[in-house]
Amino acid sequence: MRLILCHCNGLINIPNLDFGPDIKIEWFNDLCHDNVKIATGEKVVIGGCSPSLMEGLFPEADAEFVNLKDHIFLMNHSLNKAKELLAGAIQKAKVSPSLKRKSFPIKNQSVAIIGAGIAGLDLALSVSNAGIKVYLIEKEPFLGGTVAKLDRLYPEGTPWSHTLLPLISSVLKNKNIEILTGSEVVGVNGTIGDYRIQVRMKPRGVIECNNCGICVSVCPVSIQEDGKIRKAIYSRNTYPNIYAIDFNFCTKCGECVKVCPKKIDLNSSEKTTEINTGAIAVATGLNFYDLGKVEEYNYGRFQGIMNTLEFERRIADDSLVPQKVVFICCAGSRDNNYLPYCSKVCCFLALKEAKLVLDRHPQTRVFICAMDMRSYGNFEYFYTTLRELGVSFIKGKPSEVIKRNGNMVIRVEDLYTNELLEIDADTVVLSGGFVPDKETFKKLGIKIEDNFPVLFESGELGNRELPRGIFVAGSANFPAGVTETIIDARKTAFSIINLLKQPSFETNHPIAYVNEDYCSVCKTCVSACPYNAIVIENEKIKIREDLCMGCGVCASACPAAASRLEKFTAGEISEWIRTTTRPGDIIALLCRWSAYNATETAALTKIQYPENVKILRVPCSGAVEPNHIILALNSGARGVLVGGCYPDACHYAKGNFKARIREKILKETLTFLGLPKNRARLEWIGKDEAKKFAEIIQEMNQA
Amino acid sequence: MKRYALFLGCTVPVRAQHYELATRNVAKELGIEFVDLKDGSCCGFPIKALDTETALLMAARNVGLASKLGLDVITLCNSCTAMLSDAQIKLKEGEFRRKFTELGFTYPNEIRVRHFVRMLYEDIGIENLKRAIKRPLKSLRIISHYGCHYLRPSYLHAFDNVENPHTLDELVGVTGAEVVDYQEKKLCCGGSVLGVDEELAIKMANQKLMIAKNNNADAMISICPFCTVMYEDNQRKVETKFNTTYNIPVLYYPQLLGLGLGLTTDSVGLKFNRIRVDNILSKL
Amino acid sequence: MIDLKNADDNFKWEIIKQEGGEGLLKCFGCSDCSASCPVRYLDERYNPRKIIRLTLLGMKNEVLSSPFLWLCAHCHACTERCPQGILVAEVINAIKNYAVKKGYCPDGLRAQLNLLNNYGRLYELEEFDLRKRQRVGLPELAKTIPDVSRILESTKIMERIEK
Repeated sequence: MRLILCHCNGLINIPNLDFGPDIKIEWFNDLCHDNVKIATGEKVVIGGCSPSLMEGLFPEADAEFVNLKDHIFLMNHSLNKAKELLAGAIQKAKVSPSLKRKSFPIKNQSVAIIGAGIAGLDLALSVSNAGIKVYLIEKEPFLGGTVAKLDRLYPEGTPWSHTLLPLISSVLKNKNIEILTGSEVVGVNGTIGDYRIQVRMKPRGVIECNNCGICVSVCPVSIQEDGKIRKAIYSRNTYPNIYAIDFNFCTKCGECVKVCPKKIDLNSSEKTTEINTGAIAVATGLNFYDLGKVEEYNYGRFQGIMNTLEFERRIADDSLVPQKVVFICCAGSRDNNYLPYCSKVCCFLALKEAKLVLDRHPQTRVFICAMDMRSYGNFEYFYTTLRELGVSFIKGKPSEVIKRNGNMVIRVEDLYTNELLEIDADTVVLSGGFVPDKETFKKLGIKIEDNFPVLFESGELGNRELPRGIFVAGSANFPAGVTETIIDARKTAFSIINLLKQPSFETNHPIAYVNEDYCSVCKTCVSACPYNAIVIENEKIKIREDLCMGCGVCASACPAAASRLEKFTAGEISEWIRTTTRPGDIIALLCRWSAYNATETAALTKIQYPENVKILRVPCSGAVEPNHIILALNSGARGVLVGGCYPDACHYAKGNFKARIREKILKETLTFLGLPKNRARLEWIGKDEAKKFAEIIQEMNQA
Repeated sequence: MKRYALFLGCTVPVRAQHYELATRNVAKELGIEFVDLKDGSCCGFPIKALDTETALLMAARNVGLASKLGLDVITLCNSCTAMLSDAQIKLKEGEFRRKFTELGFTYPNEIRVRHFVRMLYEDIGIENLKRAIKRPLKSLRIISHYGCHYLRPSYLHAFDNVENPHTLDELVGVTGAEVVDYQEKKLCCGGSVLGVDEELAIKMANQKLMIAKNNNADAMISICPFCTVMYEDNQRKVETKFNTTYNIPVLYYPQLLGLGLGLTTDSVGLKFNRIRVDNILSKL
Repeated sequence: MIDLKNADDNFKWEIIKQEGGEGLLKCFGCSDCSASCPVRYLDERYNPRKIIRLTLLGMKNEVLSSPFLWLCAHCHACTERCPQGILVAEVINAIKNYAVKKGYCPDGLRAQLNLLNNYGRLYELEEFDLRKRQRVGLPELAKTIPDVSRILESTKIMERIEK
């Protein structure tokens, strides 16, 4: 096995190194620039600087890292300590099972896009232009999503037809895109590169159509949709350009069949089909938060109270000509009783609607009640324009909307004047918040945090070593206006194309695996896993290689040591501890995402800590087992420090909390074994908290 | 036979005997048994502004009295309901419980605290009440006043819809009377500020009386003696201050229900109502 | 103009320690409470949002000596609406409690406390009332309730209002 060492341009040097005949020592002047060849999967020990950097330089290697720069040379610690750390790493590497290469063949160079709104359409075009087949699955009978319902987009003021129609037209031209309207995903199986998606296709009802529209005039069923009325049989100006029947409301009275010159079949049945793709993208966009829940605003109870979309549609064709409009921003948002978060876009949506109505009817009296005006970026100019058009901005949250003498009255305290106001209006527009389609997220196993997908999971913005074949594009990720939605869709296109253009996705990222000889299928790991990556298959535990994030929580939770984390098995950790520990040492098992980085910060900012600390970089504080701690103490360590991320900052969602629970049990065990319990400590250490780390070590030395 | 501990508070036994009378007679008619808490004191609400803990201890003591009997508490006043409910939850806290026991009080059984009207809605139910009506009050037009602490705070009571309540209206409607639908159901009577700023309290009382008049109500229904103090006892003061006439009788709900159940005007204590109820009697 | 040099930054932490004062810091000044308040509607001098803001800024004397603090009717309209989940009526009540500790107490409340100390109820159950009850068939009740003055003594509230 090779021991590759870096002089770091003159900082690092350890003369007279010898670890025996099987260890070939190679010194390089500067690993960052020198040409070092390491074969894929070759076991090596690398002594240099930060492992985070070295991992990036040698991604193909099965490597153990020692941070000589930050832990020895910049701290002026002894060369003996350096040799002990290197010996430990070598021993660990010797007994460590080889990193398994994981390979996921991309069996289908295709992607299923759920949702044909602006994000889905743009994504479909970008991806198909790269030669990838697209299945565009839309649950409505027409393409276009929310944008097709709008009047104009702001702040440019362009009508939606500018943006959407050319896009739809390009999508239609592209033979690589297969469009399934009236279709919903009901189930998903498989893994990256090979997904099997069950799709339910609802009947359109209209088989052949010449767009005469006579059916609409005889249909008895009227439906309120986003401020306008349509019939159960209807058409939109997008695509497909024929009529469709909404069977959620159709009473099957048959009147349309009687007058239709072409063909309507009210009894066509739904079909299910299965498609095979290499990746899946969710572009389901946003829905309005149910404003009916905000009782004090009486949405749905009084005429004349509507949401921004309804208002826009009614203004667009003059079906509503208001005299006096009051907008209520943050309606039901930033409110613990309803939607606790801020949906970002509703502030400028209110501004947009105000501008729309003033464009058409300059004499309209407009009030906008807002606690804050979050008109970020260029929307600030928009805010100014509206003030110059005479809109009155009230700073305050209206307490209620009531009816008085046929008019509506809004009660609000205006913080600008400190007066309680009552504003009468004929129209009240609630600019409420947005929620994504959580049902689809659940079907696909997309992790949600506070309503929206967790973005920093690997594959989206995190570690690209991990196989992720399911993507989220557009406003389904976070509240966004049209421009941001399109930008997000393009970014997702890039990731999808990158993925599908390879014959397979290869990685040697360390993940967990199960030794079946030890496993009794107790299922502790299944509930411990923060990512639902462990399933039961054929009555055996299976850790899915495509979902495992390598946190190690299952491994430390397993009572039988059946579940193991690559590069962190019990055997190799014991070897490291036994080899490295000298009597009086403090063993620091530091989480690689925060606590470990504090030691690097210490080196950079010249914060000294005692020399008797031996540091091991661990994947998560939740992966540390009580056995490790007891072994360290038995090997002569005077203390063991487990360093993790702060609560709610754990890279693996809740690994650090598992560590906290184990700490309690550990302290009891130590007392039972006759060891003083203050010798083991669990601390939250942020990546910049070098001083805190130093202080803890000093305390532990005095204990 | 439904059995409860009856908590009267301090106002009802002295100043609202007709409320108590009507309640007891209605209960008898519906097969409800009340056990009196003879030592029941003030619930503590008037001094909550001086010291919350003292007030809660007073309330908790009353809860303890009922708990010793192993019976749920039924209250007649909105504020009593809120104070006792709050105390009942507070007794779960270690520090408060310790002070409570140190004073020599006990809370051996966990019991619920509810307003009489809520108990009628939940335990008897609208359908049963409808069936028990013998004298439908069809010619009466009633405006119901919920009062503040019957529904609020919602984290304490978790009952009815706080913005658009309906339970009391349903209960009034059960008698056959016409119920006025209006928006300001949640309005406060001003009773809590009567001792601090009488003029303000009178102004607050005026608001609902004005709504009652504008809606041609024959009577207002109250479920709290504090509210009745404002709307009935002080009605003349309101009339004087605002130079207007109301003459709106204020009945307690059990009085109305009692009439509907066929009880005599005497047994629901109508002669104790301070605003003359002649117009109601004539419509019966 | 308010000169914050004279502010007491500790004031808000003191209120948080009072029973019911815990949510105070979350306020982001939306004014829903003031807009929902039935007292504010009739008397603009009473403003719950303003009381809370002044407390957060540390204007201790202003807040505690304010006669308008006592106008809160404890009706909880504010509590129901607060988007930050603050029990606003309880916070105002906590400020009242603290004011009493510091020697501010409206006469009306002092009178009520004395009644409770003497009779255990806000109204004395005199012979006249007992006979009235008897005549209509209402059961007898205890005339005085000594337990109440025991409670009042244990929390030393009588001493506090004597100041």
